[in-house]
Amino acid sequence: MRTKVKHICGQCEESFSSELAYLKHLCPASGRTPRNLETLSPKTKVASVLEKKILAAVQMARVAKKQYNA
Amino acid sequence: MAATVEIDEENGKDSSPALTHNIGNSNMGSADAANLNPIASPIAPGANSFEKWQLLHVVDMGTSSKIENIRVWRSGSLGANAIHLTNASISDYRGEAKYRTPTDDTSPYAIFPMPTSIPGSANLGIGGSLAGSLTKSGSSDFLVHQIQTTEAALAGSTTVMNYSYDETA
Ligand SMILES: [Zn+2]
Repeated sequence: MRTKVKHICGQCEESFSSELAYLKHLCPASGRTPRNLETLSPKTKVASVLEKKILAAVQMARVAKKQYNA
Repeated sequence: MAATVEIDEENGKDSSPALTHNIGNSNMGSADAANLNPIASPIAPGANSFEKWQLLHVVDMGTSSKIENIRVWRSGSLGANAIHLTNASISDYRGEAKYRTPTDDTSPYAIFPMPTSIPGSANLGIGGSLAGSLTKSGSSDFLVHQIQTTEAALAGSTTVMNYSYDETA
């Protein structure tokens, strides 16, 4: 399996040696542990209301291109 | 309670990759990095972005019994002279793409146009199949996508990636 993967929290940028360690950390950026359902982030609360078809929106697929005459 | 889901992105060499969980954005650019800064790493006209290798990761099923029917699309338009390609497809899905070092060469995985509205059925697989499902925590297949531009491409468009799935209580 893919055992060498380093795990990083995309919110606080801390690195972990295992997925379990990531899942257990209390994230200083989001204020919750990644699977803690007691203190959901606002986005996840919205998702839980929708139930069947949840949109997990990843904010921006931002496309930045250099001005070609810059 | 509903399942808890995050979007993850894998970066780096396939011999020593890093998986960034719960990414804050999917900025596309000239670097292989999660949450990249598009000002610092812009796509030069005529170039491609680095591929994105992303996963829909169910970290906790909650009280749900099944997650399936993953649909991925972009809302919002790219500028002219840029295209957005992906491995996601409702009709020609080629199975699970195995992670390999992201490239800004033309992707051999991202070959279908990214849908710009919600597809009528699943376009990203679980366990290699569009009919796949998760009954415990785990991840989808990799979503691979890339922006390709021509010399005439102009700076700056911002769009939104959307992920939808069906959840059975
Ligand atoms: Zn964190």
